[in-house]
Amino acid sequence: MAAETGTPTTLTLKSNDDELFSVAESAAILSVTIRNMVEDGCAGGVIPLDNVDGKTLASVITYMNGISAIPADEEKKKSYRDKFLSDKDFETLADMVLAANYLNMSCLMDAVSAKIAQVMEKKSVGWVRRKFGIENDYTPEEEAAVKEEHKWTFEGVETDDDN
Amino acid sequence: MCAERIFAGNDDDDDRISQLPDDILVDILCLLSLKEAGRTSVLSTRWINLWKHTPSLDFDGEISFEAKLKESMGKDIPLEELEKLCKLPKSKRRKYTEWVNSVIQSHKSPTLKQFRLRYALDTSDKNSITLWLQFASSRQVQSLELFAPGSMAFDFKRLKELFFKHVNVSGGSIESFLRNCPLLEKLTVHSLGKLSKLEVCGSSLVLKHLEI
Repeated sequence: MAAETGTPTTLTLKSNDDELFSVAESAAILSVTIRNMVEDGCAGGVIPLDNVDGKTLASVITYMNGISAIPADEEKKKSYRDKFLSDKDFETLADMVLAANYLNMSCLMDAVSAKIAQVMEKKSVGWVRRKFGIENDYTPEEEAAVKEEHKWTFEGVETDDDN
Repeated sequence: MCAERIFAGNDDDDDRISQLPDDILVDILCLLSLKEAGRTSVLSTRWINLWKHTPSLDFDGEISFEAKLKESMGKDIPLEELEKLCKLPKSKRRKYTEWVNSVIQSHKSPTLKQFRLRYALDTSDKNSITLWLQFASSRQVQSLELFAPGSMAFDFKRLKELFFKHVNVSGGSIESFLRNCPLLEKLTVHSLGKLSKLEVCGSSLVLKHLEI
């Protein structure tokens, strides 16, 4: 309706560090969390998003606007997502996957999860630990026991660590 | 590859990935192969049990037989001959069986979306296969794919998709199996033998897709 009259409804979103953002309702409802609020009529004033900081929310809104401007063409949407995520560092990806989970945006969740999984693919345990800064808190005996229990995970597997 | 770029600026030792909630990490592990997901248990204590909650188990074993079967398509090769062609040495089959057993013993997800066995097992593996089908049924599996002969007297109330790939089954056993799958929507049968007759019936069958 709003689109026909030329005055699209905008929503105001508030991050947990009190930044305010205006976004078109048609883009914001990509988030099922926000869509439910709109449908329940609780989106009249400012919508507080307690689990998302301003920096991440700005990025998520860029995504919302970008993806909703693309007509129903899965190929084009996919290439937009790939491009959108291509220059994000892991810190940002982690923030983004948490926000997407909270906002219930499955397309963004899936894309970020796939991006993280892609990094772990075909890599050795040591490589993954170093790249993600994962601290090995097993004692040598415990680690040996876990490896023994999961020895099938090392069989017939080639890793291509590139450093 | 993109790995280097992703980690640009991640110089501190802040282990962000391990701080993500379980359900997000399980989602990520779902996108890896079963072996790769299982291997993350060695990373640290945080990771030891995560892979055991993935809702999909795909045992992609040695699948060279699939190519052999494709080659033989259209040629009139007797069934026994085909079985011989695909048969793998006992040691390899035992290894596969041990793998599946070890995974299903430790796996914790109460329900399964997918359970996929791809291996040239044979009738001597009947007991293991029975056990695996029981496991799949107890986890209310939604999609089941197997390459193996086996008993079919199970209850698959939640099963929506079923593939029989090169399984030596008779129409009769499929029919009796279907009676236990009231929600089945998709059935694919690539039979080794010749399927002379298949009657699909059932009071509440909601089959939408049938491929033979």
